[in-house]
Amino acid sequence: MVSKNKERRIHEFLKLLSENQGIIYKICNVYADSREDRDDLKQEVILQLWKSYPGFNGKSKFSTWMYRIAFNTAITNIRKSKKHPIVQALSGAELHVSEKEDIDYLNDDINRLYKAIAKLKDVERAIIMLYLEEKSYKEIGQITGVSEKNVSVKLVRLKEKLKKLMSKQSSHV
Amino acid sequence: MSDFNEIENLWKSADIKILAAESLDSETVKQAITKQSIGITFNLLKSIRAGILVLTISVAVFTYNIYGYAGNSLISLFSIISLILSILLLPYLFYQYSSINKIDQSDLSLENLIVAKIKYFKMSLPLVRHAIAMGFVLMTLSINLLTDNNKGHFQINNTWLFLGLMIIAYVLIVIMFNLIHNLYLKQYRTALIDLNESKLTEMAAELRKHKWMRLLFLVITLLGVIAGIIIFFLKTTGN
Repeated sequence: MVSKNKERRIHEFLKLLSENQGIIYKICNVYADSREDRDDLKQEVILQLWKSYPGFNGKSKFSTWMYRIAFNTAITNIRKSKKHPIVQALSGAELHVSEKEDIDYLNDDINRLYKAIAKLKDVERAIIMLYLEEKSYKEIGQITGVSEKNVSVKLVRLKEKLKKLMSKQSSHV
Repeated sequence: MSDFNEIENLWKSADIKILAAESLDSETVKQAITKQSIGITFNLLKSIRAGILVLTISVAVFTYNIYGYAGNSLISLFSIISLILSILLLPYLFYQYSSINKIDQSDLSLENLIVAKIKYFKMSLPLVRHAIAMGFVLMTLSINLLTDNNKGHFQINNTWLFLGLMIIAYVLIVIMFNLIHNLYLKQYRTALIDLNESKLTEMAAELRKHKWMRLLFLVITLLGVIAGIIIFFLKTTGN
């Protein structure tokens, strides 16, 4: 009986994960700089989702829950980096500024967009990504914990910042 | 790129390419589920498991030492006190293990999760570090009592050197954990500032209320333990 329940849970989990797998890949593309880091982060996110799955009570949408867990994993785990972690910590807020590799199957413009997003702070990336995913301010607030009003204020600034970064990226090409 | 709509269109166009190029099969998921985590939680849990292991060893060995040193009342008493301390620290570490898992598996919003983690790092983790360091010292003491035994008399060649090394080991373990954990704490604080700076101020005020009490408790405990060890060694250097 126990193993049948567990099998059912695994099957349910796989089904939900498969329906929302784009979330994992997009978050990994935004937060990881190399193929190796993306693979590591993907594994870490899936592991964390599985560990937290017993706590998913269906009160929120699965995708909302998944975003929360995936962003938390991406933002709060220190990932492998070329820089020594102590040097990283001392260099200030932007702990993950390293040269982002192009993603093979995406074109130059999209890679430039990812590189521009990579120049934002960790939490700013989450907010702008959710906005680009057409989430409402309310949903962005539910996922990040920021109030709707603060979300709208932050987004005004972030959109301008991202436009400037994209212009800089274009002028370097 | 003057129009943000262009950025939005670029983002949408990436969707189709991502789903065409990537796919999540059940084998990949099963592999990921059985993989070991690389995150801070895993490392913390590993440290706590090490603490639980060394305390379990010290419980077993001190229990034997109480029997073995039955004829030596001072060492029996020392063993009994150390055994009690080990037994008290064990459920504490089990509780902390479960607390970390609970935080990690919760589906709080990003802000609330980071707040929960910062609070844990500031309030509970300092005591956990000391508990783990104490576990290693207790285990070493228990094994030394077992092996440096001359017909029921505890014998160390250089008592003060031994005592000094125990204290240095304790301090080094705590400092090492402190350095590593502060890196993660800095990252969490940065993320919280980016999300909601006022939350950090609120939380700092809350943590300050309990800070002096925690510090006092820690100082009294450490002084008590160090005094106990020094008295013990002063008494046994005459044996």
